[in-house]
Amino acid sequence: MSAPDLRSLLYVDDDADIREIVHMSLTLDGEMSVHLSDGGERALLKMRVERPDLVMLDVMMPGMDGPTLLARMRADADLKHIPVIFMTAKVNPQEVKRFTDLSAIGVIAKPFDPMALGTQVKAMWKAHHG
Amino acid sequence: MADVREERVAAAKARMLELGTKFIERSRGELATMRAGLARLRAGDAAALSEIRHFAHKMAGTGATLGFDAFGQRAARLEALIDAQPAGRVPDAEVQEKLAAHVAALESQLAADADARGAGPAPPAG
Repeated sequence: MSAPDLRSLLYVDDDADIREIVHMSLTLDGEMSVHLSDGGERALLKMRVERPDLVMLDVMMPGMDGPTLLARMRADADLKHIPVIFMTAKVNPQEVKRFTDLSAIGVIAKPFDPMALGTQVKAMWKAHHG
Repeated sequence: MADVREERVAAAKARMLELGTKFIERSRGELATMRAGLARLRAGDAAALSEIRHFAHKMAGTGATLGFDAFGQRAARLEALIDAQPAGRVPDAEVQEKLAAHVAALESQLAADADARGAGPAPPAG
């Protein structure tokens, strides 16, 4: 079965520069809509409004961190089906296992290559639907 | 289609350069805040450590993504040193010296990166 097209994505990060870079990176091909949020309840609200195919979460954010946001999504009937990718500076096997145990479909290391981020995300999306 | 992508890539690279200049300016201010945090630590304010860590974490992630590799790595080392300290306690004098040395190294690296990018020296304090 081939993966459905990845048409929309929400990226959640408290760092405005990283949000802008991720937006630029993921819109280079013009294939998907990329929505942005700085985190917390605003991110959950945006998920309900935009209904993205995929959510990407920074792990370390003030207030509500990425894993807590994911737990809130999984407890919400409207959001629990949305696949999640984590972005983190701490990519080691234990952390990756912790995030995949939380149901993340992938983990992307920070810093990332802005020119290659879209390819990475699409590969994870395809593997998830493989 | 390929032309459109190339145009977008060129625009993205130009914007990354602008963000890099902005990053240098902001990091100067954040390093000054970290210096003030070190002084608060010396005065016994343990909360200052998590503030210093917050800036180090941001510098590590954003700096390296914007191409400030050495600066980002130095910030990551500072973050790791803070993570190795017991939570909620003021580090001993030896660790405080190491923290100060890391901040000084970040300042030097940022000045070198600013020179390399033609971003100019930091404005005089005061």
